[in-house]
Amino acid sequence: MHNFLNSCLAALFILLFLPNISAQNFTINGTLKDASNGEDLIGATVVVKEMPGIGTAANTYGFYSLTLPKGEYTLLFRYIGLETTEQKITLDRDLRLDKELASETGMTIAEVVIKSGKDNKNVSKNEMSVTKLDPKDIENIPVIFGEKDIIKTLQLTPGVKSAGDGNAGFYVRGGAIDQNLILLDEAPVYNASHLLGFFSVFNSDALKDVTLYKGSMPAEFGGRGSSVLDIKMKDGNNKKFNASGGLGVISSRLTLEGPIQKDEGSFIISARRTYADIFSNLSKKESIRGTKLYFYDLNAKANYRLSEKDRLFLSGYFGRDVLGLSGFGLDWGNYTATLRWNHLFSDRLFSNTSAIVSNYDYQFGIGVTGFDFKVKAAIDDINLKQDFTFFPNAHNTIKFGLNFINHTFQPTSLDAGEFSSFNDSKTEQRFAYEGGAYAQNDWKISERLGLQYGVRYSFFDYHGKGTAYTFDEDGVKTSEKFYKKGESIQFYGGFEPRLGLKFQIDESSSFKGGVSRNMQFMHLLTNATTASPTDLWVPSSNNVKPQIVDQVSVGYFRNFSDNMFEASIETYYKSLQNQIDYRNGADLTFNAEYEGALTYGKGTAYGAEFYLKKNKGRLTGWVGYTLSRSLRKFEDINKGDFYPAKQDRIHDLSIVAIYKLHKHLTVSATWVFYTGDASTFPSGKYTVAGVQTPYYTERNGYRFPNYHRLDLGVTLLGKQRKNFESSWNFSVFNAYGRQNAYSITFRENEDDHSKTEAVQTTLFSIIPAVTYNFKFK
Amino acid sequence: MASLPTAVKVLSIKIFMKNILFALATIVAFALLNSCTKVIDINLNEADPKLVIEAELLSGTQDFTVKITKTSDFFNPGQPVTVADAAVFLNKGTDASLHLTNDGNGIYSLKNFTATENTVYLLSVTAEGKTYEASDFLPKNVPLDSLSVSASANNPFHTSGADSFQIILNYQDPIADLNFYRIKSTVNGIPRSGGENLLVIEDRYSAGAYFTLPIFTDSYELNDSVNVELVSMSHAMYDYFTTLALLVDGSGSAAPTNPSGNWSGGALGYFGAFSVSKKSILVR
Repeated sequence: MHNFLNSCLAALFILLFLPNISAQNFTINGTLKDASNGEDLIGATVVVKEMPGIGTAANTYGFYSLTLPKGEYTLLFRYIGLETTEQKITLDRDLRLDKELASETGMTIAEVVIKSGKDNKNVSKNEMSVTKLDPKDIENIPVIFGEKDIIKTLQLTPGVKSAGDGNAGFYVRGGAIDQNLILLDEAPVYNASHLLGFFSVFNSDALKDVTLYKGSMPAEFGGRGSSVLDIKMKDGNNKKFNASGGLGVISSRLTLEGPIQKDEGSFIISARRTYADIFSNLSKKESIRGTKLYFYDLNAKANYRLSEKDRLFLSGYFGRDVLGLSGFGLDWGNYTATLRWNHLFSDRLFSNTSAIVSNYDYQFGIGVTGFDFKVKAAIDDINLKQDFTFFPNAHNTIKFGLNFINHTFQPTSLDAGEFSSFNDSKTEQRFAYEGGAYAQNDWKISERLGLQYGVRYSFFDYHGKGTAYTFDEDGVKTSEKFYKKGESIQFYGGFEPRLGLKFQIDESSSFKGGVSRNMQFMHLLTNATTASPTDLWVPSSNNVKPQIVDQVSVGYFRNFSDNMFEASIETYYKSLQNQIDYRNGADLTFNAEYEGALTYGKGTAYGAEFYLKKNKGRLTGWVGYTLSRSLRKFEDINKGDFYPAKQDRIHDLSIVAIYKLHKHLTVSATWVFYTGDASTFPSGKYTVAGVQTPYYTERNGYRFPNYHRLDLGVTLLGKQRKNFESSWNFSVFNAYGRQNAYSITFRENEDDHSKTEAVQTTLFSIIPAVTYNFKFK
Repeated sequence: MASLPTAVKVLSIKIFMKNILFALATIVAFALLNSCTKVIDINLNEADPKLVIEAELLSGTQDFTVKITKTSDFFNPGQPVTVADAAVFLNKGTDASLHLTNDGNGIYSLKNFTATENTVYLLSVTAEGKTYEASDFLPKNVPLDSLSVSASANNPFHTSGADSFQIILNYQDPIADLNFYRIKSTVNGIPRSGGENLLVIEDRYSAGAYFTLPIFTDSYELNDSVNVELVSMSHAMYDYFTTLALLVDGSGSAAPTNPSGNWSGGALGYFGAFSVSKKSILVR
């Protein structure tokens, strides 16, 4: 069966893509790993020295496969930050070649070592609109409370904007927060923030690779409109046991990793807990003392090689926030689990099968006599994926696969306590199937020309059991109908083309373009100004159409001074259909008929992103500047004219500088500036019911003051011993104490009711922090 | 204890949900170190003044007054501009229109007017060459049985001192139809202001229950003399006061909008026909 499938596919693709294939071809394949810890090297490249432009890249699991005519070749194995390894081969039969690449200071065996490989991937790869982060690289960047955070580092790159002061929510190219598909080991994470957004749920100690796709996403991803943030957890050191961790002002971390069986399997467990409530208990404010306020998360992963051709991975995340004030408590969190099976059907056909569960829920309860109740809401996913990577020849890498998700939505419902006099009020669950099938080819047409093309078919089936409602144009319910279990209420499906084209002008510069369509079937309803744990994920339905985002982007990429500097200019234009907003006075909680409170419109977003990065030398860092607009148009808002979305920040500038003063001492600084958020302020007032009432004339017609902030950091490495290393990290967030606006509200003056005033709340002034990091190895 | 009406639950949770993020974010920030609020100067547009008509028709016999003003600049501390020379008429079914006298200062009135329950009233205002109309249904009065006082321990909706008290309304909700209420209170002769006085509830989930409803948006001190009104209103007025309450509580909605009243022609404000039941209590 395997062989049959294999040969069918091979025949198909060879016919399709390379009719001139010669008779004598052989395949080299294998896995690329980091020699120091055995971690798979995602995206490491294999290049044939004799054939410029010919080569391949390792997939997510470090697997590569390269098919070449019979002959003698020199292969170069490359990965940024590791030594490039060269190996001569005689290809007269299929070859298995697993490689471990050593770090630049390490020692290598037998092979010739070439220092500083050609790091021009950003120029030479077919893909564009991609930001990659190595969690190791963010260690020196100062962040709030000294908690290094990949999402906050991403916010410093062009095209990505923070959802607010110290906030881990983000906007990509003018899209909304819910248009980001956030995947942790393939499992969607529905609420990626802790402590009301001040931290992301990702503990960077446990992460290996972070890739953000801002446009022309590979066809394997679907389900969100604006971006894909693909996060891979570490596999764990399969060479030896390690314990590392850190003690910080508000949190501590501990990571244990080691081999299950040397070189065959490993595990990693990483835990983190905050203790911010220590501060609240020191507060002079009585209302704040006694506050419970913490979060914890746990990442765990294990992998084992069953055979030369089979490998098993099990990974999971569990995180929870707990917040308690006198009289009530709120807690929320995500959990995900992913079981994956890698299988090699042949030396050119790689398969991965995943079974995934994802969950997000929140609950809050009030324990005061007479008010005791619990409110809950949740979203549950069971997700199956089958992905193939096929390497027909040195010019093409084909990916294809299937995905199926079973969604269960539990809208806010009320559970009364045993002794409560309230009645339970459970809102109907909602059900949906989501799925997709895709095929994509990464085609190196010539040394200069590359094309990544693919298509994805996505569908969504909103089904019973449940009640579906219809509404008239004013949002008044006109009918309701009950559907049986499994009976389809509404089906949506459509094709999403994805295209990326590269033209390499010379060794150090290229021109790229991309086109993509993304459909989104799930939507986050929020009436608050930033991401809140009580936001509600809802499915597309007979009333809520899928969001469709089309994007065209073009860019010019150029490296200077032997790849010391990377520079790029990317421009994009996006058209957004079926965007969601709320009718006047919309009420979403405990409202089974919330769809009547929604209104639909369209949007447009466009911009230019400028990026200059210095990769080498004592001074490293980047400057990112984005000039962009993000506009929306709804028939019943602002008379149907375009108006700025909240995240319509015209100018957005980030400067990151890291300077290595001494072998043991690194200083760093970041400065950010952006145009204030668009916001709705009153343009007048009047008195009714004895209250001074603001009078609003237009949506988002005003701006918050411009935002800017400087953060500073110092990293001091302790003595590096054979079995132990340590470092101190000092940081100051908002070093010059800029009072940035978190909110601006309008109210009556408390002492003189005839007066009205505008009140600005600033969350964070100067915040110093210190963290001590250690590693036993 | 007497069973709490579930209506309380529905409303209070809404208020809670609305405020939760803002309040918690501020608390978290306080807890984590420092956050601050300050009054700022901000340039706001000066919108063209718009007509605001406020009229409350109460059941029984009393003076019925209509107040016509205009919106003013947001930071303007003075009294609102009033509208003179308006023609105001009240209608009931097919009866002849009653003309309200112009008392000056934007006040128009009908002395000793008797309004009857279960009746639709229509108010028409012609001002500055334009006519505005609104109608409202005056519902049947729901009598308040009594008020009682309890110590307000840990009210999650209203921060108050340790020695504060809560006032509870006791009344029978009619089973027949949906009822909408606003609860107003006056303490030692002074009406409560802002959000404290904009408590509105409905009986959608508890029609026909015996209500023991605490005024949970407020608290009272020892020896306060409190006058409480249970105002029965139409669904449209309930919606109006709900959005108004959310607007003035200052929690900063992402998309604040003007409460949509019942005036045709785009005037702000409302014409409400209410029946009121009153009781007083001394807090001790």
